Amino acid sequence: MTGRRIGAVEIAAGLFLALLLVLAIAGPVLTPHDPWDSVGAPFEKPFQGEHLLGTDVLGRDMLSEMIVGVRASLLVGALATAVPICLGVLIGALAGYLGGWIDMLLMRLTEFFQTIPSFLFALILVAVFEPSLWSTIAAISAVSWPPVARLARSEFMALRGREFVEAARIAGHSGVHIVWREILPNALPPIVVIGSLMVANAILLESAIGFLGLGDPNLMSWGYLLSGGRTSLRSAWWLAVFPGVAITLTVLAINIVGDALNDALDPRLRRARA
Amino acid sequence: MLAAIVGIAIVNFGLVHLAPGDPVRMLAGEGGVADATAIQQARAEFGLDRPLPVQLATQIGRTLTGDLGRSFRQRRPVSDLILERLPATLLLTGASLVLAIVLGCSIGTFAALRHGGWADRLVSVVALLFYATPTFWVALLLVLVFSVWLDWLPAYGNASIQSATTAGGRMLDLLSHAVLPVFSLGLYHAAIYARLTRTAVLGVANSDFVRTATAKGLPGWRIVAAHILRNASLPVVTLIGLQAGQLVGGSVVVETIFAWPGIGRLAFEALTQRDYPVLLGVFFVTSVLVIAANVVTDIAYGLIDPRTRARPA
Repeated sequence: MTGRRIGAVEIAAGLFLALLLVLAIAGPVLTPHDPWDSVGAPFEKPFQGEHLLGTDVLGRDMLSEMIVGVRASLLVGALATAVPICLGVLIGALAGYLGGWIDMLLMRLTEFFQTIPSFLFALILVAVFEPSLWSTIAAISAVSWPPVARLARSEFMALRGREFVEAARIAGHSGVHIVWREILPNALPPIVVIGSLMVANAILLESAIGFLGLGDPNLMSWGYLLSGGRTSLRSAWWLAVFPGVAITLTVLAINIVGDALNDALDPRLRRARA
Repeated sequence: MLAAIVGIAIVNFGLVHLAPGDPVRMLAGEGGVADATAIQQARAEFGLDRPLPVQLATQIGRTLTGDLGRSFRQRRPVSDLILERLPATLLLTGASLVLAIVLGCSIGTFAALRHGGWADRLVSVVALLFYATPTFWVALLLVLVFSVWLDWLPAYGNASIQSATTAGGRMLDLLSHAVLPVFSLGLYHAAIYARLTRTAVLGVANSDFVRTATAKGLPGWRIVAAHILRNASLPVVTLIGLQAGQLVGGSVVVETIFAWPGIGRLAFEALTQRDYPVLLGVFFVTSVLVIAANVVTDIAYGLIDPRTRARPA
């Protein structure tokens, strides 16, 4: 990475994410066709007809599908980050603030969930609880919280001995108040950074789950599109290539913005990230 | 390690019982529970009529003795199915890991030694790109380019239908089938190792003992090999343990795409057929493998860095 300064790459990544956000909000209005409707012959080639990105096996307009897919993918990315962040912060805060045997127990649990093969675990969860948007989010959340918990724990442990926390304790504030109002705001910057990178990871996981055909069948996400592209790889390469490009660019942009955020918010963490 | 294994058995137990619907359906399959008497029989057979704590204890005991239940689709013990498929997966993940480490570490070291130059920047950009690309998409593109368009390498299975007659021919056949899956799985991890190695080498290259070695007049390759890489390898070894689980997860996707007959594909087949005993069995076995990989990296850590060895009390 280029370091602290915000360069052209960071700006381009930021603009790309802004564009995605617009598409996620206004996408269904902007699509040239209804993404679920057959509007042409199946397997029309891209860049040479009225359908810019070609059509899929059912003659649906690929461009419309891709635009509608932004909302689904970003929605999963956002929700499947928010849930594990809350869970991870809760567990990390309890462990770091209370210490003792609770800390030991919770950290053992965290390590355990960090060791087991997370993707397989997520797939099992999705399969056990019928494929749907919510089971996808739950499965991604179930495997993403451990790093947050560990980070939150170390922040809370470092902060609980500081003077302003001592002062709050002497002032007679309750434990809940100290954790919620005093420590948490100070522990947030590194958690925001890890959260921004988790969005990228959640989008990747969703695409893999969708690709294997285990996502919500009524939700047109990029992973869903890829699962269709895989079966017709030999006859229609574009069905697999375009959603993949979209996922890669999105994840790349999030990583770049996340790194910039990392440098901006917390220089200490810069070298700790692998 | 034993605690972790028992933990996985408990998670599996929880999955069966927390899932919506009757656990009998998960363990015996839809076909095994056609009428009320069959349900009763199956319930008794799987011990589901006994109190939960007893069931849990029995399952942990069974798991520890290697009994993972029976597949109701294939009508065979799960452990047999997994043992049959395990070598293919170990070959795939092992080769991918070696590829990732060799490629990633050498590229990362190369980039660090040319810190700030165009080669360094190129490596950073490529690594960032592969880091952001889904494994399965890399696999699809490799199939598209090398199998569909160029027709150089096979895209399915791990052996041709007309198998070669000589041992060497069979070996070559296996290798040609393994190239695409190994690269699909390995490139993402190579990107991670390249990024990490670059950071680690940069961190070590500026330390005092490296300056001392340079001042002593040691040749450059010796400084890199003996002084820089040995110290820079610590975070890399740690990462191998952490990545073991991801490698297994990636193998599910890669084996599915390439029809590679390993346990990842077994898991995917079990997923689509709702063959839960097989699915949970694969989850158990891979978890144990990952835990074992972590134990091995812990030992390797001690070998590389004497300071981290546990002192006898």
